[in-house]
Amino acid sequence: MAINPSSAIQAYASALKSLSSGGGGAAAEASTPAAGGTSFADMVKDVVGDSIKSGKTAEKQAMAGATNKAELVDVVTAITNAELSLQTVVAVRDKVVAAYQDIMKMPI
Amino acid sequence: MNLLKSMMIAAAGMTAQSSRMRIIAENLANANSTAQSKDANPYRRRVPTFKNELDRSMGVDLVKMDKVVTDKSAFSSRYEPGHPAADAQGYVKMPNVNSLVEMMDMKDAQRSYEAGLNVINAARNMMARTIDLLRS
Repeated sequence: MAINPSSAIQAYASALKSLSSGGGGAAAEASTPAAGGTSFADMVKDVVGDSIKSGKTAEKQAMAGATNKAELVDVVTAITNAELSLQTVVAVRDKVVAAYQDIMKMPI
Repeated sequence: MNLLKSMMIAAAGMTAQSSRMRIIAENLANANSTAQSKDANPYRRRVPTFKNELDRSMGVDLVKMDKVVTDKSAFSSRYEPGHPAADAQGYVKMPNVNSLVEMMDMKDAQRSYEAGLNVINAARNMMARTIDLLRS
């Protein structure tokens, strides 16, 4: 079974995209990766954009909840979605940066 | 994603149960609301109904509160000749609210709400533990 790093990156990106598109329907489809793989910068941009969108939804819900216009449960689920989305982004970023540093530290 | 969907489904159930709680509160609060005259009827107990509704954006069945219907059972009566709504025999029609039944409904709503809370908690834990896999 052949596994290369770009397939891992694509798996992270597609997982994140499906995660944030399921999160309250707030996140729009980000730019689709070009054939043959997406660049790391693009992936980080997409993923952070999705996370910011779910964060904004959570903020909107929290404000509506503070003025008694939203159900408390909706506020809680929106905030939980944003929190989990952010946690995934941070975990993926840490992992990819660690992989990059491993490669940089490799003796030539 | 499935775990997020289960959280949204559980949240819809909790919203429905809190609406049911509101109806129960109305029933209990109006348990002594009589009419003003002897021809009018006192407060009639209200019963919430639920229905399942397909959420097209997620493709799942959510629970929604349907119509609130009135309980058709007979009113009870109480002997109170001085009351403005008393009839010729001195009886006043009282609402058909039974506090014991309302209390049991309240417990039921409370337990269903807690079940929804547990589903949300479990789904959240499952997702958080999965994300933790990336961190090790």
